[in-house]
Amino acid sequence: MSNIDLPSPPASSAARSMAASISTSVRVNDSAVTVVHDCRMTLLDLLRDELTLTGTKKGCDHGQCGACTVLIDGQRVLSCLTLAATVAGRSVQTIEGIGDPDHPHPLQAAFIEHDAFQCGFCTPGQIMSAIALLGQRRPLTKEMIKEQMSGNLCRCGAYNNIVDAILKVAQNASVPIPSR
Amino acid sequence: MIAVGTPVSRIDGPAKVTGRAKYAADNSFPSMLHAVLVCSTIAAGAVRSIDTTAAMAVQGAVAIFTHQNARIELFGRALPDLDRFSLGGWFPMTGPDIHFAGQVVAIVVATSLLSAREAAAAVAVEYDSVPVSLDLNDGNSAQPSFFFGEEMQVSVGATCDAVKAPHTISARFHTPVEHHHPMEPGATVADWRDGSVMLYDSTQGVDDTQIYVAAALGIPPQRVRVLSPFVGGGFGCKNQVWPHQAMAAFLSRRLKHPVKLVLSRADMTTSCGFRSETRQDFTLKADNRGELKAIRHRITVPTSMVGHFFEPCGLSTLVMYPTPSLEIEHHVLRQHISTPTVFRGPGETPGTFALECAMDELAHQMRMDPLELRVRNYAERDFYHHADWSSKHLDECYRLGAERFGWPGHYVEPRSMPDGYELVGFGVATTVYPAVAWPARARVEAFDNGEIHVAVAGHDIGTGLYDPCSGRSGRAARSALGGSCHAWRHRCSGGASSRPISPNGERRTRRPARGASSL
Amino acid sequence: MLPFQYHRAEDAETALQLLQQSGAMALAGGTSLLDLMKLGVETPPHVVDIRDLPWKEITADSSTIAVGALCSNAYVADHPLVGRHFPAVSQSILSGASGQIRNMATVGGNILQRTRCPYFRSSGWACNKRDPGSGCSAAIGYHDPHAVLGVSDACIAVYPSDLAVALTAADASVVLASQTGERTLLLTDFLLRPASTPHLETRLQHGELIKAVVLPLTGAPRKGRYLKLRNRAAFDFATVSVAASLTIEGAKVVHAALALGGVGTVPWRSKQAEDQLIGRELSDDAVESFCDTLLAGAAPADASHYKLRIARGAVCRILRELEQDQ
Repeated sequence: MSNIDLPSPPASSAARSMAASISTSVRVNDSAVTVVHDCRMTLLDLLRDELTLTGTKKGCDHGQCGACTVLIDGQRVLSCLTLAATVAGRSVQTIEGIGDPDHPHPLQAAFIEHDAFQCGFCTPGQIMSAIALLGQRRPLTKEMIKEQMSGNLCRCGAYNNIVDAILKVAQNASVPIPSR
Repeated sequence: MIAVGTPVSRIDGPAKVTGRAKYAADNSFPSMLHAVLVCSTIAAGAVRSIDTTAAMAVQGAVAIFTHQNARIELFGRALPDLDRFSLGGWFPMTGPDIHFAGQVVAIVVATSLLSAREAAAAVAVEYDSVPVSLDLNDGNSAQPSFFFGEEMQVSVGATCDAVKAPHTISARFHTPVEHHHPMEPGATVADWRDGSVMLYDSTQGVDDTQIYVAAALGIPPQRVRVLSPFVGGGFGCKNQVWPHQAMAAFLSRRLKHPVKLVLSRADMTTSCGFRSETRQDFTLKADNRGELKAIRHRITVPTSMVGHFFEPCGLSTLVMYPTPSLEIEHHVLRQHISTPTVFRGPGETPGTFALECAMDELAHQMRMDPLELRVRNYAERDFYHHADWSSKHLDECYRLGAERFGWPGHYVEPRSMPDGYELVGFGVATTVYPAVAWPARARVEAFDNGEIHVAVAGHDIGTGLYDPCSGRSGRAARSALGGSCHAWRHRCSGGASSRPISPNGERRTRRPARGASSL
Repeated sequence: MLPFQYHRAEDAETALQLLQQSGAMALAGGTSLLDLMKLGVETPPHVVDIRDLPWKEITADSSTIAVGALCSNAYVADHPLVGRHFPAVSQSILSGASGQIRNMATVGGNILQRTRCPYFRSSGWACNKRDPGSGCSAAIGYHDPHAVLGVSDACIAVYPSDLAVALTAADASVVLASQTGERTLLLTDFLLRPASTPHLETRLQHGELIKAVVLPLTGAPRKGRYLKLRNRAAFDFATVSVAASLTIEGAKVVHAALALGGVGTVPWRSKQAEDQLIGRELSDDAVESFCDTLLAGAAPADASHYKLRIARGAVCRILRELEQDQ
């Protein structure tokens, strides 16, 4: 194994694999993008590796933890179980598109105010999941929030504060919902 | 120092809630390669053959390392000073022997993660498998003397058997395997260039990682820089340094490209430790007032064939309740499992579970309020270590808890408190945990423009490293050094091994050390 | 994941054509298929995306409610027609998975989802379902959560869908579409027990798609419930679940339909047991002999025996709750 001839590093993902490639055009955080990618690529890996939007996290890659939650046309979905090719023509929203440190979304501000995180790894998924939940515009109690957020795991145990943050925003009728 | 104790919002909050906080796997570099582990599907035996032909034919596959082609380069040297790691100096892929299911037998490197995983699935490994038992009745047993600085085989006063007392209970408790499974899988991105390596890692110990990786690669520690500013949970599994972290560095040096190695969720069960199962036998003897006359705690726990960590369940029993007769025995079995490691309250967690269940069962046998039993066995001192507590307010907790829980204040029959379709249980759990402080250093620089720069080698895993370095200590530093508030800005940088030494983030030692050292 | 060709079908005719390719599989929500493809359990060379097909409506006529197979789980659970006539169906969906998965997953995909048996899901282990003839690792290994009814020497894997349990209790049928036309089967005929061919789980033929699920209406809406018992309070598969509808008139049972989940290789229902209740009062004896008949033929292993006791308790509880609902 002393002489390894490496293929020259490819400039784009299209050259990486002879596996079937596909071109996908999609709106991500209100910007139109077109990416040529391996058919097998999930939306999660497209966001993180092709678009360097690393806010969305890979916790399990099998739909069991919720850390990869994003919005597609305003609905919360798991990007790790979504083939990138299937989002052609749709609108994807990630944590980066919700707000920034200078102009945080009310839910982001509530998470800080209520200390709704510790290590922060589950946090983008929690926030995206909660935004969609709030967007459904139903009256929410603590019990309902717990039930409806059960697809987002937090191993640090910030659940109580997460629920408080969501409840706080739920009680404020003027929170904006991402547009479809 | 008015700043300490004032509530503040986490200074890293905006970064975390906007997805801007960067964790190890969020780092990518041009021409970066991806590494995927191939793990043993048998628990004991040996690799008979590994055929990588089909795997190397996968488009994008770059290299595959096994014990056949990497044995010498990959950790084939003596590794000093690594006894404090759960695995000691053992590394996988130094020979064909299999010691546990999940042991790494090959690493596949490719130009994309999809190719690496496709190639990894195509590696054909044949094993000579040996049937083994993982039952806690089987296995070669050892009785270790010390662990975590405490005796593991303890005999104080008369033997338990010799003690006569009107009330005795004997009970056996099992606790299951528990996995840390932090939300963030272990991940290392290694960038080797010009004789040094930069590791973007997810670790609770940047300095240990530096030492371990340097030893594994046979290079001076100064040539290894470890950056771990944000860690997505660990709970102990990232407190140790694990072979895959050094493997990433090795691969980058070998292949002359940055390499990203991210553990899959399945890898996490066997690649970074876990809490083993335990079997614990308790005998408690008490007089008619419920005061303990004897405690015997016999523990059977496994460790791996190659490591040395085991779950020290007797730790809390040493100090929790006063007793004239105390026997604690730890039997450790070597089994074909991956090596356990510290996990939140190592020893204390399963140990106090068993001890407190035994106490509740004693209270039940005596028809006594289990809280009253604790009160009657209150340890006014740490009798085992012959020391006073620095502070103890457990009696207040008992009193306040009883008020707030609406405690009945007397014995209650089991199964007598229904709540809808459920039954309300009745018992008490007390725990004790050591609060250890180790020396740490921080570097503080004050600049003419009003900035204060506080540097420590550490990481934020949710415990808020950045706050004592900036928020609280910044204000304290300001008030100590004088000057108008608005002129002072402070920056904190953490999580890098080039900064002053800090202890690992286990057993909750870090914050007191760093906050104090910054002041 | 092995490489594959991705095809997006714009209509049913195209989809059915594309599915004729050898090894082709349909992709709807992806929550089951992609999970299994990442595990290497499913390796289709062709993936046909059928989400543009129009089977996304819920319609009713005088005798049935038809649910398009591409309706999302969330859509079905929240639909007023379903809530009014088949509350157990709505409850069963809401008890399963997570909000995210319910948005993505479809009715057809829910019915076709595969077992959670860890040996099936991991290519390192012998598994007759994944690799016919290789053996059953669960039978000699960890089988606490496995099936106690409908098992065979070849396979003891539990069928995981909550929705299918409620559909079974509601006498649902599935409408299957292929290039040669459509056919309708009772769900209880569509789902297969393992017997000696555990790799065959349904009567779906290669090139066929589930087009709709049809639920018969029976006059006034019945009282129905879904009860799910599991290790976690949410986001977990059933240890034992039960879907039931019950009508009591003049203190006598005039209708009872009940199916168990979490205990069988398919949803478990016994018309014979239900017939025993008709015309009787819902006494403790009546409930107990109902359970005896329903669970007759159970073949639990040591580690899964506990399920029978929980099943009895769950049946008692749901029937008593439905009695209160009357």
